[in-house]
Amino acid sequence: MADSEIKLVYFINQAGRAEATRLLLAAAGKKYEEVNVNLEQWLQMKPTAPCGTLPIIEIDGKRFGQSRAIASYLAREFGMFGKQNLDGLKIDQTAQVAEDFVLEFANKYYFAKDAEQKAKGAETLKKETAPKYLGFFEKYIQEEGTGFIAGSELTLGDIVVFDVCTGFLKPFVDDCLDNFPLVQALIKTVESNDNIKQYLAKKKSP
Amino acid sequence: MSKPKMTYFKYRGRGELSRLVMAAAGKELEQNIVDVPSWLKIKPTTFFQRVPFIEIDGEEYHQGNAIATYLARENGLYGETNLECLMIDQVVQLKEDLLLEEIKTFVGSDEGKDQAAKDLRETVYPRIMQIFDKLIKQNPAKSGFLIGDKMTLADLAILEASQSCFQSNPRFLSSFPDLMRLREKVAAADGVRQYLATRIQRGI
Repeated sequence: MADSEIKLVYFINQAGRAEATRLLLAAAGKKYEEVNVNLEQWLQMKPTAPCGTLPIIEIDGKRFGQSRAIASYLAREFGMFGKQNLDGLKIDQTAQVAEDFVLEFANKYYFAKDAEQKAKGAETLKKETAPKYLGFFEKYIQEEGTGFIAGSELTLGDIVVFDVCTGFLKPFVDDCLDNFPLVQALIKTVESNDNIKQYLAKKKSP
Repeated sequence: MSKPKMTYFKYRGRGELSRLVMAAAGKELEQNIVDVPSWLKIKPTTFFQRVPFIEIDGEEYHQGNAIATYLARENGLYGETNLECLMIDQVVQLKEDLLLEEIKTFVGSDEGKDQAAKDLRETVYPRIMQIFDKLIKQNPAKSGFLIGDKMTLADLAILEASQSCFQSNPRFLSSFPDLMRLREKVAAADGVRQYLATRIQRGI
């Protein structure tokens, strides 16, 4: 992997389903090329996309889809997938729960049929959905007892939690974050990672 | 690892992949099958209040695909290289995308269900079954499995992902001969064969 050439393809100016991968690559200090497309370019690309969706990762010319699969692969390459199989289960569990949250966002808000539904959806997401999912993360961290999702060092599981709370779901999470101290502490831990600090600073002023 | 116990509904849904993994591995998975009323009763007593969940050495874990992947790793049914793992995860997550579409034919208004069934027939099944078929064809080992020359979680996932489609329209899948051959190969594998022989057919 140290010598592998990585290309990440995603939409222009969107954190979305690529951000966890970007955070991972940043944490690992791995250089990669990013190709951004607009909707028109994507529609031309779509018929030959490996899974029909974005993001796509190209690893030494081989292309793969499915954002969670991509992130897990990279995490394993970079030694950020825990030390034993049970760590892997905890990390996968976290990533897939985050995926459930994204789906609720999609159903309640993104695909809402009119402004009224959208507003109702946003309220539900803030008042019920976000607390439910942050509650899961809080429990995972509490169970592990180390401040991390799995084991005692930064893994993909922690990056997933960070991405949920600071990425495109942030507007729905902000109101209730104060009720989840362990999640808040984990966010600070991730932010304090040198490589991630640099990545976040660069994002603010590119 | 002491014998794991999975709690889930009688449906295939998000539990079947784990059942297939353990069958293929020749290992026992204790099943706690619940119906909706009894699930609603025990739900508040569980840690995460979601099914399926698995109990391993007294600890509870959830997320069907995470569980199946863990069991596959425990039993040598995962990838041997990280790239193989990515190829497997890709297929498992595509299966999840498909399941989300299939679920729409079981919940919601009659109109919604009809539209969902139409979408499956006209766009979703053709698109996804073609992707599976293409991935199987791309295996340089030409073994009929997705990866190398032995069965992995990816093959079990393809069997399961194509099951509802096969049940509702077997003739449609015959336009994907490599996919059909993989289904037959996996269904004939030791452990899987015996499990399928006694499995009751469910719509989802």
